Amino acid sequence: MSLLEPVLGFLKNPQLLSIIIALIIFSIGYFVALVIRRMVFKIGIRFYARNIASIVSKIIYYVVLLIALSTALGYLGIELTGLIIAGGFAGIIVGVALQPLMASFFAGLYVMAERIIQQGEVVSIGNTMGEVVEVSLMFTKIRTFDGVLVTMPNSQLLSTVIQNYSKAVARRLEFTVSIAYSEDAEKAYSVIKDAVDNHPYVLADPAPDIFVSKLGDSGVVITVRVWVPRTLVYPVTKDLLWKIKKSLDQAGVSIPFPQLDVWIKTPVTLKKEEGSG
Amino acid sequence: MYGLVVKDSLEVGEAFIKVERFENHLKYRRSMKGDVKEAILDKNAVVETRPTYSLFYPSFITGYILVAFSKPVVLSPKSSLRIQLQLPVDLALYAYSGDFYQLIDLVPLHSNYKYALYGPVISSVEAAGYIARLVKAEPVAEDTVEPLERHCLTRVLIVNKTQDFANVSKILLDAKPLKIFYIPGTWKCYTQDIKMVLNSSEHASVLYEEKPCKECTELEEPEEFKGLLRTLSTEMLWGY
Repeated sequence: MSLLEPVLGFLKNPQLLSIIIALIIFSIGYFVALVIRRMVFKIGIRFYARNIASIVSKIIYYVVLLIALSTALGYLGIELTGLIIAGGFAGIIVGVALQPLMASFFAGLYVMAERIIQQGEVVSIGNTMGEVVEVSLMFTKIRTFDGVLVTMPNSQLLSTVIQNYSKAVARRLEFTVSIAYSEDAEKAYSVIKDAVDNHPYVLADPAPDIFVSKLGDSGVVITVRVWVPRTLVYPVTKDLLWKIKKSLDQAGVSIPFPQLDVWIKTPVTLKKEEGSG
Repeated sequence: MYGLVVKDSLEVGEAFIKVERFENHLKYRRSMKGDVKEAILDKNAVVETRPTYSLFYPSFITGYILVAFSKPVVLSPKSSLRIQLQLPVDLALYAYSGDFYQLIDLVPLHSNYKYALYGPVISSVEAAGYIARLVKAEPVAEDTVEPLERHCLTRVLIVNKTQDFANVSKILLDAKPLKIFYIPGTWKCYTQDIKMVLNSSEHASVLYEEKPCKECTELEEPEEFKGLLRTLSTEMLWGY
């Protein structure tokens, strides 16, 4: 009995009791915020990218936490109206001041939600081409093929053309090869077809397309269109034209250099100089 | 032969494999068409041959295998037929030590390695679907077929659930759920049995079923497939 007396006396103090109740309110709010955060993350990850689910769940977490805090403070009799009004004004001022950052923030949310670009993809944004290293809320980092790390604000993504090369399963490559008019076009076609068919990374289906596309000034232009797996575009681009060139050389098919025949209407007399070879 | 411990030398097609044992190490050497591959192993390692999916040469880019039939298999409505296919395999050389293994070399056993798109070409510059290793195989309806050297025998039960005749000219296999089995000391290799269910004129489901024989040994899982989520079926959405 003697032990309970100080505890009961402690609880009879209305101020201390209010503080305890306020702490309980905040603790419950904190617990609810945690649960909601986990639930939103788990549901969000099914429909959206991991980073966007994480951001949305964090925002909800802080909003619930703020509500719990204001309820707890309200229970203690702390007036929050003035604070909220001041906060509102401050929000407007900060919002105007940080407009570019906010634009990037919402652009980042949009890019993540729509999965326009994702980590590991090869993209071209404006004049920058490379692999996406990171898409965060504010910035996107791209590693160019010569190793430079480019960081651009997300707002720039929405105001420029984005080419995403990683969205396709396969890509079509096009080469043109010119052969001299004196050469056997059928033979050249057959040599090019063999080179293309023997390349392992040129897809058999869709079938390669090889055709005479132009009767040029210097030679017959043959266009070669092939499909290759997306990830192998660069090696095939490097390799295939070289193999075609070697095959044509081995078959004795000459690739012409630009030449121009000049016809002179009036007769021209050429005089050989004394002593010249 | 698969499951063979290479103690001295081995000749497979154009490949010549030599394992030299020294006091405290092994020297592995494989030559093929001027291409030489060498490795030094510790004395505890054992070099063994295995069949492997024909997916790793020249490089691993896909886990799918598109088997194009040399002639179509025609099924009447609500009918089924079991066929057998010979799938090309390559020779893998593993270093073993107890329960641990490591691929040290891969010997391509075939001449032409090609890939194809399984899926639609949406426009002249856009395609969808899957990149798959393209293999050509002759469907055989007889049950008595034995696996050919450098090939794995695959038994496929095709079930036509549609109300119409079905013309099957290809099957898409996913190597991740598809297990390979071999009989040690022979060139005999099998895949697990496959069931192909034709659901509509465009859609088929490929299911991976039974172990093909009791005395078969299952091939260890390649490094590339480890840790990947695998499905129990492959959906062919763009025709068969």
